[in-house]
Amino acid sequence: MAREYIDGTEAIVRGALHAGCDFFAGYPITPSSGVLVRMMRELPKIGGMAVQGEDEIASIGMCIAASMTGRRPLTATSGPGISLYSENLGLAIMGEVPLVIINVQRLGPATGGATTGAEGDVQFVQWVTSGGLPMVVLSPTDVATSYWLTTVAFRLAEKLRIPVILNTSKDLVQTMETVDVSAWRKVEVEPRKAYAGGAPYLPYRFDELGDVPEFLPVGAEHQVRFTTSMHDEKGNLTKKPAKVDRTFRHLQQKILACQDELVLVDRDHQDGALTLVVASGVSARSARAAVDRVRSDGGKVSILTVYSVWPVPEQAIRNAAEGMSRIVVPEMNVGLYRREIERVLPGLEVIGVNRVDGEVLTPGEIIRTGRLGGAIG
Amino acid sequence: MSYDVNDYLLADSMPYPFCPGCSHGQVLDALGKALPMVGVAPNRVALVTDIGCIGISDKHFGMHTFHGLHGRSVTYASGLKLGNPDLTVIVLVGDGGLGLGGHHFLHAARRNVDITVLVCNNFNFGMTGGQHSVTTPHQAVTATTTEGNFEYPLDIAGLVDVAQGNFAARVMFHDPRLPDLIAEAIRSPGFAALDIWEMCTAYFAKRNKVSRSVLEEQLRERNLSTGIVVRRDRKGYVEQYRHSLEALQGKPLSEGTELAAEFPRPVYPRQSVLIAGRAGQKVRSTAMILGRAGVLSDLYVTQRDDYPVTVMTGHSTAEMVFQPDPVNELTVDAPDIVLITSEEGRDVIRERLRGLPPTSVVYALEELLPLDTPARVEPIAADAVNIQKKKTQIVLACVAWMAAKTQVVSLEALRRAAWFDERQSIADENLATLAEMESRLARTR
Ligand SMILES: Cc1ncc(C[n+]2csc(CCOP(=O)(O)OP(=O)(O)O)c2C)c(N)n1
Ligand code: SF4
Ligand SMILES: [Mg+2]
Repeated sequence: MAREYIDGTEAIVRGALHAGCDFFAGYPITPSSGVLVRMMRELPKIGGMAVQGEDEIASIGMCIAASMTGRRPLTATSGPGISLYSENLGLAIMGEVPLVIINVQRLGPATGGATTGAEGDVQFVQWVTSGGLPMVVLSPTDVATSYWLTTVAFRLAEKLRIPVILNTSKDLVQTMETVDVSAWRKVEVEPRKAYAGGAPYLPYRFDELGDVPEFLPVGAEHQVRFTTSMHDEKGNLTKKPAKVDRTFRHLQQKILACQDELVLVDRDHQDGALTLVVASGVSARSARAAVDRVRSDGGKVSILTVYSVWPVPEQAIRNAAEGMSRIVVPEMNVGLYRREIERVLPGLEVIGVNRVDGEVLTPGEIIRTGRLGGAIG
Repeated sequence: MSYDVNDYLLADSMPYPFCPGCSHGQVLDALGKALPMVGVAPNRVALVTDIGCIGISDKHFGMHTFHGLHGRSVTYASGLKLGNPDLTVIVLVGDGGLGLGGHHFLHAARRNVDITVLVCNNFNFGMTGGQHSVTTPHQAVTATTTEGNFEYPLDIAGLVDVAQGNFAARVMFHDPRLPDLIAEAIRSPGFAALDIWEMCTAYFAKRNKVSRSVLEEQLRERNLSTGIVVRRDRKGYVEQYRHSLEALQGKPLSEGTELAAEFPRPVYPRQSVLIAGRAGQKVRSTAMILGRAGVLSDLYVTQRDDYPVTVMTGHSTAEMVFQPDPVNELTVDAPDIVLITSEEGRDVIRERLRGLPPTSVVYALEELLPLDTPARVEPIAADAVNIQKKKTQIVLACVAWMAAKTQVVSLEALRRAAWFDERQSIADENLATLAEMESRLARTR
């Protein structure tokens, strides 16, 4: 047991440093600035580099380029900033750039409420850029999972050479809590698949559509061509339909091929329950408290906490919903993830418990609106 | 080792993809000549290309190439240089890209990032069909200024000057000095930029005269000259970074402070506390002391803070839950204990006060009464928590008061928790407040 009293910001920073992060660029914005401030202080200690960019576009641009020199970059932002990241996130997808982005949700749209919590970016973070290729998004529920999922984000980013968003929120990064650091989960981050030599280096070569190209940093002995335009395996611009198709499908397929690692859920099934709560983020925490309360009062209810929000863990959701007649989805938004649950579970009654006033859902209102109190058998 | 043009410009990639007569090719040729003069190995050079006609030139080069988004090339160049300071980083950007990413250009110059930016300035957007750009001359005709441009053009080298970048030169594409100037810019430490006046034969030159004499006339009119126009010797960004952060190198990363269960766990299933004060009263940091005291007492604690965007004004609240097992309920419908230390705090929780049950207790500074609440109200006399009239100590004094009257945590645990503050002077001040409160409370007991 090694107890500490810290907030989600601290957990994210430690997770990043333990995952080998050695580059940071970001621009101040509440409630994500804590990550910037701490990274600026910590990275020079280990010979890393941290920069405060002139804006969010510059910050993510620097991270992307640094990543292509072989660094393990992190950036952090919120609301207006993640909107500004949009174009470069597409670039990171197209150029196959490992990059971890912390998005601390605050009430939007636009400037919205800088110090007001929300979970309104849940759909935006998936389709955050043009072109129609979705992002991989992870969502913590507390300080411990903020640490764990930060390391997972680095692992996936490096392994698949993709941008990964850790979608957290004001009420998670700024809430202090007791944690047992010795019990924290962490995954290993393996180095990028490297150029094996032999044949001439082709920066975007892959055999199977789901393979990840071999990496060489800009600055290596062999020439590296990086491009965000539609390209062939050499990294040269192309418009040839067959090549365009192959590159595009590869960008999608390399993520689908990694399904096993991309399903991160916590299923707590109760025999005889007919109601399932599906939740993520800080709302999952209130949902957990609601479920505990219902059960201690003799009620029956199951809960599925979703950490890997995108791609939607459809099979895990279907499994958890087996035998259920009602699904309750609590969220601090107008019902954004509920759309996915309705799509995955057609025919089932799906009830949203929603709040958009900046306040965290209370277990009481989840029980009342979700009618969990009557969920006996 | 020495290199020649062919090590940088790939002969088998020719011809260039530009329109007949377009001057972009001449600039690329000049870059190919300049690099062997500098003598840097091709695999130590990264060429960043922006978007537009000039942007599609990467495939002609044998160095590392990086082709990103329109206007953002300077940000990628900065990232490459910071990511690997051994690289020589060169940017090819058009006047369109310069306009879109002017902000980045300005700040790379201000930071003096060690990169070389070649602005291929043909006075319009070539690729998208000859629209006007930030460098289109006054009165020039373009697709979007058919009656003559009424905007005034930006001077790129002048921009470098005001931003305090190290090096800038202005030069025509056909000037024989071009390769030398490029080489000089690359060699120059810190930020360097070249404003290369060019010819877009497909658009700008069709609608406007772009002969040598016309360009020279323009220089005269705008009171500009060619050649090196800015030269400074400020330290480059990479050197400044290393120098100014040297003291941090090798220091251990900040890890957390372990808080052992030093005090017996108080016996209750749960206690929730809401502190409502004002910004500047140290609500958050005081709540952190209370939280640490909980952890030192073998409890699980959560602390959810709320405050407006204003900095030293407005409310500041901390909502805390203490229990023997992990907490998932960050906000409770009715807190067991409320502590009110300012008007702003009282007003922001007005609704919640009304909804409290009679079993809740509200401790409030006397001056903030009466309160509209069914809960039991316990006034705190101003004198009782006045610590040398210090505004920053009032919440801590009230928390000590509350600790003495409730079971949440003991005063001893609170004192131990205050000891853990990172900054000694703050810890000392807080400890003095707690000692004073303890003796006052002992007297009144
Ligand atoms: C964000 C964004 N906006 C607009 C465009 C469209 N676009 C492509 S090239 C270009 C202008 C290029 O002009 P310039 O930089 O001067 O290069 P030139 O073609 O003249 O060499 C524009 C606006 C784009 N690619 N990205
Ligand atoms: S459009 Fe203009 S800039 Fe583009 S290639 Fe043709 S002449 Fe050159
Ligand atoms: Mg142009």
